[in-house]
Amino acid sequence: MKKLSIKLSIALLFLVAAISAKAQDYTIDVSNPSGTTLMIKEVNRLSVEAYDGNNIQITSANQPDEPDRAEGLTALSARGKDNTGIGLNVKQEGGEVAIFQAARRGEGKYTIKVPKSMKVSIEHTGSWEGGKIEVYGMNSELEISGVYNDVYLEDVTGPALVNTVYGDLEAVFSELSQVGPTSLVSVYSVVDVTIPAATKADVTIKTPYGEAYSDLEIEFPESEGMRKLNSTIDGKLNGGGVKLDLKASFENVYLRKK
Amino acid sequence: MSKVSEIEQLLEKYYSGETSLEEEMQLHAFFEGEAVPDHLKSYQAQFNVASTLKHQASKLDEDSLFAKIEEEEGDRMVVLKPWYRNPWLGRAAAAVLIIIVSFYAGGKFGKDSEVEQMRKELSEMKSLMFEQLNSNSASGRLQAVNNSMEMENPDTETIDALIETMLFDKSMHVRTAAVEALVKFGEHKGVNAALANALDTETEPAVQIAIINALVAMKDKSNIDALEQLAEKNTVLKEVKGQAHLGVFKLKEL
Repeated sequence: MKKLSIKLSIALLFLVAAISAKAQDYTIDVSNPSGTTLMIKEVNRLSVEAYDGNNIQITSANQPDEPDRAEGLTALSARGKDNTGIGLNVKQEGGEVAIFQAARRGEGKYTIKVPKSMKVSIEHTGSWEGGKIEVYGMNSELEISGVYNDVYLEDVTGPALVNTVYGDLEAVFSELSQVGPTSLVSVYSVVDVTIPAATKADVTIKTPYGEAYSDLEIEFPESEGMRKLNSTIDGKLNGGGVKLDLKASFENVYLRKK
Repeated sequence: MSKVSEIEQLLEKYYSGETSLEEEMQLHAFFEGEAVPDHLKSYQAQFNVASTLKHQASKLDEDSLFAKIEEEEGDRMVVLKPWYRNPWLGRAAAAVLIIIVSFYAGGKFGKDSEVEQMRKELSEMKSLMFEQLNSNSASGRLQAVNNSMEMENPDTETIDALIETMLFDKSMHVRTAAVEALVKFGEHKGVNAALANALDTETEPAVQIAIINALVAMKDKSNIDALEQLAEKNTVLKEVKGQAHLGVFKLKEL
């Protein structure tokens, strides 16, 4: 019995070690978060979360074990070498921190915690393996450009400039920043946006081959003559404010109130 | 003497100016002849002078004759008048006076006028826009392009800045807005050509569609070439090609 429990605890210890090896961390020190731009390029399956700290903290999950033969070696890719030990290449230069994916890491997922005031720019030009890009709680400027990626934003304020070609674009705003315009575009898929009912905005919705749906009170411009029927909707929310552009070239746009 | 009475009749006709050339020849022939009766001799001298003069040739040849005529006319053209009597002088003076007065009035009353104010606002708007167009913030650059659309009549510098933005800005949102702004200012020189160029270099599908729509909105048949070229590119998405074909169709229908 005692032998068994020793065996069990040893097994458990190995299991914990194995799990902790699969979830690795990497921290980037940033001296001036509000004056820094974080560029995230070609990182597959990505979640960015804003928090009240001063460093960039990267956690990777679902990392496969390195093969025995790779001991003492680092992973390489055309974009540079893995200088973090978790399959990423990090460069820090002036007011810019750039994170590239360096190793393939088939099922890996990265969670990056960033200081709330940091400007974030995410770009994925690659293939289908890009997966979903998720952003939570950001209230500074956000830029996302994807091709095959679905994009999900929650509890953000903008200004946000987001575009994807094949993926869905879903965004839930806690409020809409009046600092600068927000523009959300998907070419082949839906754009689904939720904003507080009291949001002030000049909204333009373009759906050349789709429909636009909303439960918000959109004020259309007063015009004397006949109004031209086309696929562009121009209107004001709560008297107007910052510019909010929503476009789904071949699909529908949904604009909801929170 | 029927001939003499005939001549008398002809003479009467001659002096009342009713003779024909033939009849005059007849008279000349008669007086040159011998058989002129006495009572008609007084007329003989006159008709003989006329006939001698007729055979007299000028000593001058044709060219020098005309030269002589022109010389005389030239002399007649010189009209001697004092300079201040020239009527054109008065007219020119009036025109200069009108210009001076209008400049004076413009300077005096136009200084703080609305035109000046608007010009000032426009230049402020322009410098702010140029500053924003170079900012790191894509949202800021988008704002700048959106603001440019409010301009009534942008100058060449502004149009050039918009063209550069459309071709080279990193953000597709900003490039799309620049395309839309340029369509608004489509009557400016170079806009149409710039849009066609942009279609050649742009790779983002959403912006490609915006440029296709812009080229159709310009209503210029020369844009058909650019659209057809895009429709043949292998790298372009099927639906974008479809948009280009549709654009070609719409332009050909014009």
